[in-house]
Amino acid sequence: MKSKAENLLTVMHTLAWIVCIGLLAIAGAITISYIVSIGNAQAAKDLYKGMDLSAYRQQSFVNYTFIVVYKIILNIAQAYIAFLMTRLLSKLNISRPFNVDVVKLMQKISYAILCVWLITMLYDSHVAILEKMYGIAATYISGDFIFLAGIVYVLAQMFKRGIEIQSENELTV
Amino acid sequence: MPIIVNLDVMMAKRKMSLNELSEKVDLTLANLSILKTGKAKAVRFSTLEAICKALNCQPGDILEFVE
Repeated sequence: MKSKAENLLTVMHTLAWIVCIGLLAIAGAITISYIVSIGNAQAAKDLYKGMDLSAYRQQSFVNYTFIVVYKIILNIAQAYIAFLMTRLLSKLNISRPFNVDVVKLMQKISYAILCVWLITMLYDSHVAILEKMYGIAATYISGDFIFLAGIVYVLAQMFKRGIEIQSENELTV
Repeated sequence: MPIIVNLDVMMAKRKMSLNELSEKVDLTLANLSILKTGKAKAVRFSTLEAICKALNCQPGDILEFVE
């Protein structure tokens, strides 16, 4: 019989896949809307679920492209994190939780979160500059999750120590 | 590692096979093999006691410190 933790991990695995596919679908939808908006400026008013970037489109097409690319990259990067999460959960064995693959994936996740934070900072500063230049009301993305990257990295280091303890335990006769 | 396991030497002296020792000390062959090949990172006192009893020797006959 599966334990409560194993059931929870199975649910998390499924959720991570759903999130990954969902974020990729959003990135795809924004890309298609953007391609349509190249020829039809009206499409920029509703790129995805009311995302109105028409003000940027009117002012400068290059800046509009940058903003859209930021949003697409952010969604893809988040989908990548969710994908790494699915791989981590598939490799996680609750009876032998500490293994090299899990540590490597945790480190990758922390680096990916750091990248997302960097892109967010770039996006925020770009949007702030455009607000100053053209007076377009900026919508910022919070970059507070930088702490998350740190926490995941620290957890990865703790897992490394866990591997040592586990191998010591296994090699105790 | 500076600690050398001389289990194979003692087994040869007592003319005891790994299978026989494994049955006497109630350890799996795999674990005994880990100990014999020096891959073990730790030995329980209970294991050491059982091995010493089975081979009629002292812990110092099995473990040796080399600089």
